[in-house]
Amino acid sequence: MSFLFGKNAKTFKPKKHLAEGTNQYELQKYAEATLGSGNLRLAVMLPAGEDINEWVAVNTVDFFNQINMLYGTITEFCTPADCPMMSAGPKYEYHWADGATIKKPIKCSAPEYIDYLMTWVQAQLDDETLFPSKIGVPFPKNFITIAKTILKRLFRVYAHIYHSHFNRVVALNEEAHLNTSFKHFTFFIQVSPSLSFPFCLSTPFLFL
Amino acid sequence: ADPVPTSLVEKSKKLKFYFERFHQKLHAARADRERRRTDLESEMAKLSFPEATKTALRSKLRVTESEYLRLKRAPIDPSQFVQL
Ligand SMILES: [Zn+2]
Repeated sequence: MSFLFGKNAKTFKPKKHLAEGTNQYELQKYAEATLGSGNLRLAVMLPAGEDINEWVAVNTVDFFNQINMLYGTITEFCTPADCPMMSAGPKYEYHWADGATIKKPIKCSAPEYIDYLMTWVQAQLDDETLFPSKIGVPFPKNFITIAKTILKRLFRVYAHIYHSHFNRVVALNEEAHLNTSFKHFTFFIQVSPSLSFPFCLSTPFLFL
Repeated sequence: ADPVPTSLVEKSKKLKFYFERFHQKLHAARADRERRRTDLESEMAKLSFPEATKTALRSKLRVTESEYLRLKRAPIDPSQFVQL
């Protein structure tokens, strides 16, 4: 368990009321580790004069890439045997349906679910009619609704990583990277009223 | 815990590098954008441009910034690609 006392340990700011040495204390240390000093609340704000669609599009692509990389480092531990269901806590079990080609939800393992989900998101991002990449091509009228669905689904991958694989993330010393990415994500979806989600997003502790 | 395989350590190293650089660039980009805006304002003030010209130049900068965001999403060329 040498990773518990790694070189980054001094950057953790544990809450004082938790007794040191308890498992919860240790998990909380990792759950609070973040990267660097930049102001993420400022970073998510729509720059003055910017088009909301353009801003949401570029951020959505960034979050997709980050989740793809994060899941990529735990994928060999997320097998149908380890994760027979796509869950993010006892209250959340997901069955896959994309609402278009797959209407009837499919019961599947977490890795299958995440594969469906990421493939579906990639297809949306590559669709020039939804995410135009050429200068001057307008976004579709319902772009925010589309982006919201993508972000809502991407959230489930973060949730699954926190819920089922956080120990692996810690073993790889990636907790600050995951936490920063997730914090950035939650600030981003909270900052724009048009993106605000119908469910409550809380800190990573929700899933630990 | 089981020992982490070397291939995974490498993958994780690349992830960390990417994320750390991403966050540096994220904050730098906002500061740069703000600087371009204030630079334009101070230049225009120095040269005492008429209001109509100022409005046109501000709008031109806004469009350029927006196009820059779009180009960030454009299909990437191999030199920008972070291989995992
Ligand atoms: Zn899993």
